[in-house]
Amino acid sequence: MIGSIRHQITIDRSADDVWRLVGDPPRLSEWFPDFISSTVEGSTRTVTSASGISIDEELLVVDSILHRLQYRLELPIVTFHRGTIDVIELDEAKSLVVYATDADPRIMAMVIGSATARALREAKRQLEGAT
Amino acid sequence: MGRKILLITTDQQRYDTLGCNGGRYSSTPVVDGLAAAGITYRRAHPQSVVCMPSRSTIITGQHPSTHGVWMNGVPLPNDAPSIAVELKRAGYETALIGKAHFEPFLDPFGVYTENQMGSSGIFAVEDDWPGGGRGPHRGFDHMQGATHGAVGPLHYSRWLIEQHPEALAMYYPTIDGALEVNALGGGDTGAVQVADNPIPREWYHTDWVAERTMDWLAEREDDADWFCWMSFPDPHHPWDPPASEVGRINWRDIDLPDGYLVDPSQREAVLGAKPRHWLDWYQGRLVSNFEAPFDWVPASLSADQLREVTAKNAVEIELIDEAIGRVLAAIGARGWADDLDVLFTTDHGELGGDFGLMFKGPYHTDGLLRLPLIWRPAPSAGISPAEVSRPVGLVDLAPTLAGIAGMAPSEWMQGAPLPIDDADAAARGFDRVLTEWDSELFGVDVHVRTMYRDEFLLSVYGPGTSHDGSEGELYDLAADPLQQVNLFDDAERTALRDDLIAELRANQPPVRAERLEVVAPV
Repeated sequence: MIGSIRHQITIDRSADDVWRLVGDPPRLSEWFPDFISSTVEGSTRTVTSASGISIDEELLVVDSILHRLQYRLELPIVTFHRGTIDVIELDEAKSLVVYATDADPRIMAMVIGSATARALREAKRQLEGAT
Repeated sequence: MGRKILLITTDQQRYDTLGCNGGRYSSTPVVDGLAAAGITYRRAHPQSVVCMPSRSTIITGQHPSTHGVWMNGVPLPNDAPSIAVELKRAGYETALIGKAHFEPFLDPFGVYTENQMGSSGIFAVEDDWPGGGRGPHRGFDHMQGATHGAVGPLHYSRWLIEQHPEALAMYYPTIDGALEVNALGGGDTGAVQVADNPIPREWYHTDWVAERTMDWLAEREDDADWFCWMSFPDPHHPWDPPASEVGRINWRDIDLPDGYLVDPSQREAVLGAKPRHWLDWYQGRLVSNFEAPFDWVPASLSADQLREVTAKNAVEIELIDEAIGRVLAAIGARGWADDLDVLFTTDHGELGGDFGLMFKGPYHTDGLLRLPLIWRPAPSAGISPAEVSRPVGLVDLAPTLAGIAGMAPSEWMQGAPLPIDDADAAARGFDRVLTEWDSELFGVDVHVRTMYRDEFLLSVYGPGTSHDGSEGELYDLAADPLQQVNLFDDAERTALRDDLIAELRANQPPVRAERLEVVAPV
């Protein structure tokens, strides 16, 4: 059964500024607290957690015009996953970032989704703290 | 040298499973002996009927709305108030051995401290303390974790992997391949969450918790002040006690529990008079919460399956009683008995066949609400044995522990030291006890506020998936101890109901300013 979880946050920075951070695949570990490294080779991003778990993700969409990034992580227990980040311009200095997680089993949507919520808060902290 | 404190908790144990509370399935001479020598609380309620919020209430002395762990899967912040921190500050040596569950079990990225300690094989990490300073996580010098089986990162699982890897597959898999609570049936009757477990008794988590407790106590100096929370994972499902012990109680000899309605039409009529989610769950139309198997329909429960669940539950309770006896004997051998306070309780109850239901959820009746609670004060304190009929709550444990240690309750504690008899309870205003439920799971939400007072049990519902906010339950426990007649819409009880609702609303605890996030189902 698929679960669908969505988190969102407003950030007092332009959509372009936000996109430069969250839309750049290798920069994920800069703002996603559960991961300590992220590297990209071709369409595969490899992320590593603090506890040493390494996960491959397939990058599906990196659209700098729409400000949309989609990817799929590959874990044995997850039969389907799609993560979607949309950066939406609210005004020239404010953005809405929506991070959606769809996964089967649905419980993994909840667990992964909670990590994305932490990531959004960290992105906001970094971007609003940046000059 | 002060009084030593042994807090014993079980998980998901009904009030009526102890001999001293009229239980008829298990033999519990050790806990019955504590009751005879101490204070037995006849109306103790949890402030939540699921594990994480309730355990957070025990350690913080706060209601869920205030500590913020509003449903399972919400981690208690590391710097939350903790009675263990206060006892540590007072010079106590502190341990929690067994099931903690202030943090989620399902933690694939290894984010939470309890899981990190287990997977790393360490027993303490330094953390920020509430009110400033740093010290061991939540105030415990020693945390050694266990849960309901062999799976996961906790210390018991690691121990089993290292010492007895052949036992890993012996336990019933509590969670299925889709990470849902397993609906697989087993045993003789195909009952859900029942299995034949060939694990030797000495490898089973009940004995492991007792052995690790005795190990920790053996390391204490004779004159140490100590606080040990010995936390058994049983008799929570799965019901898979060691096969060597199952023969103690033949399920075929089990009389069906009083709350089980044998006639399905009567069962449905009783459930139909309660708010809608009761019957919807029973008939398989709605699963509102994670704590019951998603693919199990309560209406499918047969009388024999309930007998087998009840028997295996009773076996688990006997094993706990015997384990407590061994720990108390070890404490006695150290010469500590006269200065030892023992508290025995559980985090919440179990529906146990009431109305044809099992497990737990937003169903605030006695199966889940009425808990075993016994305080055997240190004999040196000179407190007489008693029974207390006035309502108390798990929220009162933290101030009680503070009092045993000679401290005043901290200002953040919302309960009061447990009364030592009914006169004390009356004098100090133990008139009511509150319980709350909030859950949001994949688009289904339920919100309930409950109060017990004067032998009436009232629940009111907030707007949610199944409710428009006008629903409620009212039971007259003196006339209807099994809560089969919902008086909420009885015209003759309107004034009583409205008075109780007003009191319930007027006494709601403060709500934490920032809502904590659900990060996992459990």
